[in-house]
Amino acid sequence: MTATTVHASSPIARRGAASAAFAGFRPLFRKDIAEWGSGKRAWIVLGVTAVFMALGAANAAINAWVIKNVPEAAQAGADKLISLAPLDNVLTAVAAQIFILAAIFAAMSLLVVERDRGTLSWIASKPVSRTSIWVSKWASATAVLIVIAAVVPMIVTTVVAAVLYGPPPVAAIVVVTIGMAAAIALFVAVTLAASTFVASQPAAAAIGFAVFLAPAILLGILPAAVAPFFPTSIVNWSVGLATGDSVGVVTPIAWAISLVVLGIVSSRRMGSLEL
Amino acid sequence: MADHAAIATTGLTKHYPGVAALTGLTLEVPAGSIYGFLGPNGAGKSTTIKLLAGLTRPTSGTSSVAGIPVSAGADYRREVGYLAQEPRFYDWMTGRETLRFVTSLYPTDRRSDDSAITALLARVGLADAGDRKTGTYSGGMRQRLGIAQALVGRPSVLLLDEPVSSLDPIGRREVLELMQDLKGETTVFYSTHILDDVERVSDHVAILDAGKLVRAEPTAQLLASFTKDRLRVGISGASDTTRAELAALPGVESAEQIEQAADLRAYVLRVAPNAAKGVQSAVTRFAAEHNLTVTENQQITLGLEDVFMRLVNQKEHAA
Repeated sequence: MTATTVHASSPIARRGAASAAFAGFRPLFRKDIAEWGSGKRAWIVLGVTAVFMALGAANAAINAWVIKNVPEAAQAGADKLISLAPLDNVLTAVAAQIFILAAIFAAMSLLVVERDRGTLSWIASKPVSRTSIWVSKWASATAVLIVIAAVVPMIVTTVVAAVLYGPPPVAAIVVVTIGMAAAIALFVAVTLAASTFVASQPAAAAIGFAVFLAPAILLGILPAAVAPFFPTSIVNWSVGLATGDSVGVVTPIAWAISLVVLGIVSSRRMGSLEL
Repeated sequence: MADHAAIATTGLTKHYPGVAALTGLTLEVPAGSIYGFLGPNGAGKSTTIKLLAGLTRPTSGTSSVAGIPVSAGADYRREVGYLAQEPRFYDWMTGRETLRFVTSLYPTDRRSDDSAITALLARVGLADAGDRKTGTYSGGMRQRLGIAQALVGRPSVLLLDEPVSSLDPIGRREVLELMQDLKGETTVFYSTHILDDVERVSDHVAILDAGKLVRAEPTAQLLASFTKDRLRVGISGASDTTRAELAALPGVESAEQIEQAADLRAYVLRVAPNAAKGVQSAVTRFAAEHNLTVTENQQITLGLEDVFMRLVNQKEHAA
């Protein structure tokens, strides 16, 4: 029999280490996806986000109708302030960023509740890695929220805009939806990472909201030129790309780096949690 | 293959800021035993079980299961089935789905198929409730499902944290019978403060107090160590000098009068190690020589509760 030495740096050893780091990921991901389907949370997120965005897109048409029926407003030229271009109104719906609020609200309970009710320690006592537990939560929440808080609401919004103003450009809609998806992935990661530091849902949500609001506050102090360096600018970046602006690659790189950093920090925190 | 203890800990210590939850626990749990881990509330029992389950990290010391150190992560946890003090599962899953989910977390060679899951549900008395959502389960049913899920993956050791303390008498009996049924199949290490249960089902016992191990040995041996050196002697016609005369008999270390009714007095004699039989004969001779009647002359049998109280209160330690 021939003995074979596997060096720590060899591809086999690296694959083994990666496999150990993500032990149990697939069954955990299937369970987390099934959990989304077991309650009302997904339906509530879908309903609120779709209705809110559809109303955002219809806002200009409603205003135009009001102005048309209020002579004083028409005489004051208020109708000239309203754009009835289809893409403008879809982007108005996106600008409220309700999908980010939905992502933070939906993600704030994912880890905290499992810790409180004891299922996290139960799962962590099984032959799975804690990194897998976190990554599974993030991947499943991101996947579901992309569908229920970005894709479906965007389809509804696009249909509303098409009916009220005419068909918007599909390519631009797709690009903006990808930006929304990227923002959802980021804010789910932020909120889940926060949940590894704090043990309450409000505290996790507060950190998510702080990250959401921080760029607006910082841009009041810092020059506007730093905005692309914020990973949270990913939606603005996608809107710029969709409307033909020169947007560069800084924002997607910052977004990707921030996701990797959040994943590494969370993995380490998960490993040190006392359950 | 080396013959490992089912569980081995060396100097296992867990200190939180201002609290020494566990200090220097060194313990060997024989494979196949049902090992009761006794202690009052706050003694460090749950901390020990969580350390052994790999859920919390020790301040110092080491532990292993079947020779695999806790630092081995998932490889270690494959050998351990854990039941929390108040087990909770996903309310939206049925009992059967819960076991299916747990088995999917194990490597292929440790997984149970549907027929094995059905058998496991039957074994813990959940055959009829297996397809009900766990959110509808009573505390006893959750506990039994907890034992079933801990058995999935065929672990070397079951770690049960207070498995019966929250159950009614019927539920308690069912779970204890289930634990007895596991003897020889796997090692059961469980914490409790219910002494009767330990005496009933455990072949080994460790007593923990204030985070420190007080005693660890086979249950029968522990009880015997507290009974072999004491005699209860009843003498009719005894006088005030009888206590001192009994104390002077060869092999008697001390004599204490514990009861008196008319001329009938009862004494507890503490005797030297292995001297009980000789002292019993000496008492009989002493009574005959002094025209006294011996009404009782026997070794005192202590229950685990008495032993536990003595050890925990530090009043005395058996030889």
